[in-house]
Amino acid sequence: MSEAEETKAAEETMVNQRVGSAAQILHEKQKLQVTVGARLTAVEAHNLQETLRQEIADGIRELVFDMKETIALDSTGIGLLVAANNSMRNTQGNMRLTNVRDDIYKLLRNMRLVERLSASREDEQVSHG
Amino acid sequence: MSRAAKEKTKKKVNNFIRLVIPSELCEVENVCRGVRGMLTEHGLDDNAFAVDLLLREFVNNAILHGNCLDCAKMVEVSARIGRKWITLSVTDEGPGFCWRALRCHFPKPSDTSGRGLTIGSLYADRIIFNKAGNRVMLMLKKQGKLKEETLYE
Repeated sequence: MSEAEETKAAEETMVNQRVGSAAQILHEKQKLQVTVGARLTAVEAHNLQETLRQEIADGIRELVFDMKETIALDSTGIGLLVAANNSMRNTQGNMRLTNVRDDIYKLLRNMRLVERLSASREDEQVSHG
Repeated sequence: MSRAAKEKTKKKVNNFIRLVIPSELCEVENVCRGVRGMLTEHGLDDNAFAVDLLLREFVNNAILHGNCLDCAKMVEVSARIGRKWITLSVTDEGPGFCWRALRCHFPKPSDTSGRGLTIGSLYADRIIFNKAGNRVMLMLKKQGKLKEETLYE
């Protein structure tokens, strides 16, 4: 393999990193998958914020938050999700929340954010146009 | 009465918890854990999510806005389980704020902040501030459902 081919292979390799207990991030080409931990509240949102900001600035086109483990979400966590959504919209990218648990989904619904954040429950998929 | 019966009658399930924490956000989880434990003892797991959420919102506010993250200032949190109500209380050492001037507006979808009081109004049946605004009491009906879930459809 030539040096150029090795460089390209390295760039396309999935990058997996942990952000404390807040989330696990999987970066594959222009897609970022964030597996959120049990809580996305003030402390975790603070830890995750800078990482997300950098990733979005680096030009990802698709951002997915897998919420299957998340049982606690507060207004600070919601603010982080909204800010990420705003940034992705500004760059014509896509963002969605998947595997959202029932209580969290109801919270997002009551805050009128289900559609905005393209949130889907554990047992459904949202179609993306 | 047998010894086992005597031991059983001695064990009381607490219906009141009071915690005093420094103004550090990492302490919020300790508060939630303590209150959650008491709810479980009383078979009130159906109220757990709402109580957890309200505590996070209002204790965060006390730490961030009331005490301005000054670790020398404390936040007092209490939770009481009554016959019909769960009553939460959060007190900070700040000067308070003019809660009367605050109108509960519904945040725009693109707003990244300002949802705390809205969440409070949705998940608590009653919210009562003291005159200064540095103490809030939140009341929830035991095992009640979220009120007005369809209000914002």
